Parts: sequence; C-alpha cells; structure tokens
Amino acid sequence: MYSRNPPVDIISTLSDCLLVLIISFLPFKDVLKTSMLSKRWRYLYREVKNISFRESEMVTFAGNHIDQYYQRAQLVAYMVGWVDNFTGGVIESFELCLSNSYSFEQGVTRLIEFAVSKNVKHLILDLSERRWRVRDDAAALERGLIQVPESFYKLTTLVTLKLFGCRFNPSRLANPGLVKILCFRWIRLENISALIAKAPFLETLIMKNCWEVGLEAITGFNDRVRKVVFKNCVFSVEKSTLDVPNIQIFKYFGKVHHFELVSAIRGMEEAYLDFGEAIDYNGSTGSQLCNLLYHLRSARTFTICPYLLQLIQESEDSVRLKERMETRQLVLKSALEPNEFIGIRFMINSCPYLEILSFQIVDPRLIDMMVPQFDPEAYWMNNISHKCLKRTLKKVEVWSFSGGTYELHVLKYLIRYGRVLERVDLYLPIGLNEDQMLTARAAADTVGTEFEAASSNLNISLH
Amino acid sequence: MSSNKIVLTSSDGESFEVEEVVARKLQIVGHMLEDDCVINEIPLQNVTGDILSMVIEYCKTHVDEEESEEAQTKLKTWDEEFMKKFDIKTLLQIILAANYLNVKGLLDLVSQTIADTIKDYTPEQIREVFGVENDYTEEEEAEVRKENAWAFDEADTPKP
Repeated sequence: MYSRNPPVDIISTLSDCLLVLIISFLPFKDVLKTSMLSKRWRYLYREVKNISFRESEMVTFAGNHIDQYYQRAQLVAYMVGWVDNFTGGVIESFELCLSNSYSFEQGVTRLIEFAVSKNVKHLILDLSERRWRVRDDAAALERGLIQVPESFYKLTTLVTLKLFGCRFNPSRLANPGLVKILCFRWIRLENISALIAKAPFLETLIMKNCWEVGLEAITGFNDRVRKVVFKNCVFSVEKSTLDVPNIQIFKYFGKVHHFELVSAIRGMEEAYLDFGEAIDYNGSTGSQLCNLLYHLRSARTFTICPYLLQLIQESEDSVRLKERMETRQLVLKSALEPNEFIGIRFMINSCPYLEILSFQIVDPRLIDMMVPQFDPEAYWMNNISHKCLKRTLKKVEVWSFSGGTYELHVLKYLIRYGRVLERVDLYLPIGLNEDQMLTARAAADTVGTEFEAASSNLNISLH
Repeated sequence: MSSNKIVLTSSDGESFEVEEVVARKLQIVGHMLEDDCVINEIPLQNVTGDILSMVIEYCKTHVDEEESEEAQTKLKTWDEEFMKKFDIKTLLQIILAANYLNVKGLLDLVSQTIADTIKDYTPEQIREVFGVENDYTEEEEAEVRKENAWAFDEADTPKP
C-alpha cells in the first residue's frame, strides 16, 4: 500500500465542488447523512448529482388505506420540498419509485419537471404497483396512470430511460440522440419504432408487460444494439424486423411473435426463447421459429421451450438445423413427453460443440398437432449417436428430476453414447412428498448403477 | 501520431518526460499547448512529483480510449488494481491533482473509490478522513436529522 500522511491543510483545500463530486458516488441515503458531519457539510447534499427517491427505503407503511394515503402524501411533499431546495447544477441521475401515485399527479409531475430542468442523463421513473401480476392489471388502469409532462419530451440529454407504469408517447421524444438504455414496464408502447429510429446509440432495449408494442423494426441504423429482452408483451404489429448484427443477448418470453432477423449475427452470448403456454400455431409458425433459431445459432447459451421443441417438427427439415449451431450450453425446458422427442434430438444434433446439456423439467405443455408415428418406448434405444456426444458433451443436468420413465430413457441414451461425459447432475424438485422422494432416489440409483456408460470418467450425483 | 516529447515539472522540482499525447490527457496542458505550441517544458506548481507520477501512469494507460468492450473491461480492471495501491489520504491528494490538472476520467475514478471506501464508515471515521471537526450543538444536530429524517432512521437494518 502506497501511503503517506499529508499535512492536514491539503485535505481542507478540497473545494465544496470536489466534496460534492465525491459524495455523488455514495448511495443517496448516505449522501443525506453527510449533513451531520459539520456545518460546512450542512447543505452540500443539496448539490448532489445523483438523486434517488425510493418509497420502499423511505417509509414503512402502516395502518389502513387512509393512514397510508397520508403517509404517502407526506412523502411526496417531502420530495417536492427537497427538489425545491436543490442548489446544484445539472444532475446525472434521478430515480423515483412511488406506488399509488395517481393521487399525487401534481407532485410527481413537479419531480419529473425538476429532473428535466436539471438536464438529467439517467431517468428512472417507477410508478408501478406491487400488486400488478399480469399485463392487464396495468392496462386496465391505463387512463389513471400518470402522464409524463410536456417538458419531458424536450429533454436532449437522456442516456438511460426507464419508465414503469406511466403514460408516455415514444414518438414525441424529440431528441433521444444520446440514448443507450431503454427499459419499459407496464406501459403502452404504440409508437416505439419512432423513438428507436432516432436513437443511433441504443445498446439495450428491455420491455416487460408492455402492450400495443408497435415495434416495426430495429434497423441497421441501430447497429450498437447488444441486448434485447421482451417479457410478456403484446404487439400491435404483425412482425418485427430486427437488423441487429452486434447483438449479444436476445431473450424472449411470451406469446409467439414473428421476429424477422435480417443480418448474420456472430458470437452471441445468450439466446432465450420461451413461448410460455402458447398452443396456437399455423402452417408457417414452425419454419418461422426455425428461421429465428437459425439466426440466433451463434449463441453460446441457448434456452428453448416445449412449444419450440414441438414446433420444430413442422419445419422443412426436422433432423437438424440447416447450419451448425455454436451453442456450448443448451437448456431445454421440457416435460420429456414423446411429442418433444424429435425436437430434443433435433437440438442435440444441431449443436456439434455442445458441452453442457440441461433439462429443466416443466409441466407438460402439449400442442395438438400431427406428429410422426413412432414408438416412444423405443425412441431412445435407437442406435444413433451425434457429434457432440462423441466429442464435446461433458455435463448433463436434469433440474426437477422425478425419475419418470422418459427421464430415464433420455439419460440412459446420453450416458450410453456420451463418450467424454464427465458429470451427470440430477436435482430434485422442491416440495416432493415422501413417496415421490423415494421414487426419485431409486431412479437416480438406477441411473448410477445400472446404466452402461461410454465414458470411463463419469460421475453421477443426486442433489 | 505525434511523438513530440514534453517535460512536466512538479512543484518539488521532479521532471517527467512524456509523449505529447499523454501530456494532452492533462487538460491543463492541452490548453497551454493550444495557446502556444512551442512549449516543451511545463511547470505544474500545485502537484508534487510522487502524485504527478501517479497521474501520468493513469494517463499513459488511458491514452487511447478504445470503444471495444474487451478494451473497456481491461481498462476497468486496471483502474481497480491501480486504485488499490493507495490509502485514502493519498487518494485525496490525487483527486486534488486530478482536479488541478483537469483529468476528468481520473477525477471520477478517484471520487468513486473514495466514496466506496467511506460508504461503510461511521460519521466519526468520515470526519477523520476529511479532517472535519463536528461543530454542531446537540440541538443543531437534532435539527439536521429532522430535515431528512428517513435517512437517519436506522430501524430498517440492511436487508439481506
């Protein structure tokens, strides 16, 4: 450690400006506490560059609705008073998390206007309710949600924008030229394309529980986009065209939506596709999804859902993807139902470099479709191996392992052909009763003792 | 790229010969060079040699700020290791120097490091670091607490 004791007067030459700079890196609560240090520090906090009002940290609500209303009213009055006393210049970030905000529109508006007037760079506005579970909980209240004020649309300094549970018209943000991060929840996003088209530096786009999402395209103009996440959104467009050659992470959770990826993507980190409880499909869904799979094939980690495993059979070639996937870790959410077998083999066959194969056993999500006739009992007994089994697959995991017949079939197959397999890890689900536990343990025993293994260096464990 | 050398001299007479591109990371030098481009020796009165050498080390490392994620991560790791070398008193001297020499990146880095260090300090410890004397009376203290009462409310112990 490099150390020396400077004369004290050097320290006291730190200007207020430097002290404010230092304390601006503290958590907001600690910033406020510095007012206790001495009279010189009394009001330094009023110039801090990062302001964060999080209801959950500030108040413990007690009593009935009316008591809570007054507590919240006091809180809003405190926050408005705080910003009115602010003496600093521009601010870096402003965060406001407040529930039941609709009764306090005036105060909230005042707070947003404050952040705007200070040329905020990172704005986080979370007006969502903890009781909201599904999108419609928020969408049904849309008219009551607070609207961001007019002045907001003139902001030119935004780098990060997170808006949860309010109303906002994306197309009206006049100059989002510096925006890198967009994150939306519980919000209508009809004109989102207009905003994205004006944000050449966009890197991250996250949408959760949004409705009327009018995402027509992310174009080559947005070639810095690295991360795109959708969760439980509904779209107002039939198709979203994504030209995102540098994307690293693509995650989609929700009803099937047609994404058309147009450019080749190299070296992706992660792709995640889960279409949830979806059961509908039409003649083109299978090939659409395989096309998506094809474009995301460079992802090192890939997660696939039962819907996709089944729909794969509908594509032109149900043996493997038309080009090799570069996936090293493959996560298959599956009930290990016969309907998914062809899809599972398709995936194993398409990933010649696979190192880790994880099954997350989920409840069956069966799609009513025509499937090729085969005998499920014999399917995994077939004498077919795949490249990754011969060369790269080192680890197999089964999460929520219950010892079902087909779980054992698949394991038996993988152990029999996995020449370089080192570990098989079986994880019991939470909340098994005693009988189920015994079954699972007995099954795991069978896996460990009776299955013929191609690899001499194999370790099988139950967790 | 210009390979012009510039000599920077500290308040205690230590001299450092650096590439012009490195020296320009010190905005104070940048401005001087713009005013008169034939300078090749610059005295820096408010910074001692040992601190100046640290600032120069930082500037040399940050001389080309590449955009790539890999380069950024590498720089970040370097920054962290670099900051580990100093105790808080030295950090305060570096921040003064960074402010005087106008090196924005270093200013932020040191501020962040100091903040991270004092985050878990008691008020007494923070006072010691900054050489602050508590000049409040008890009544005044109570008054200050009231102003942002929630921040002093220790009932809500850190959540797990």
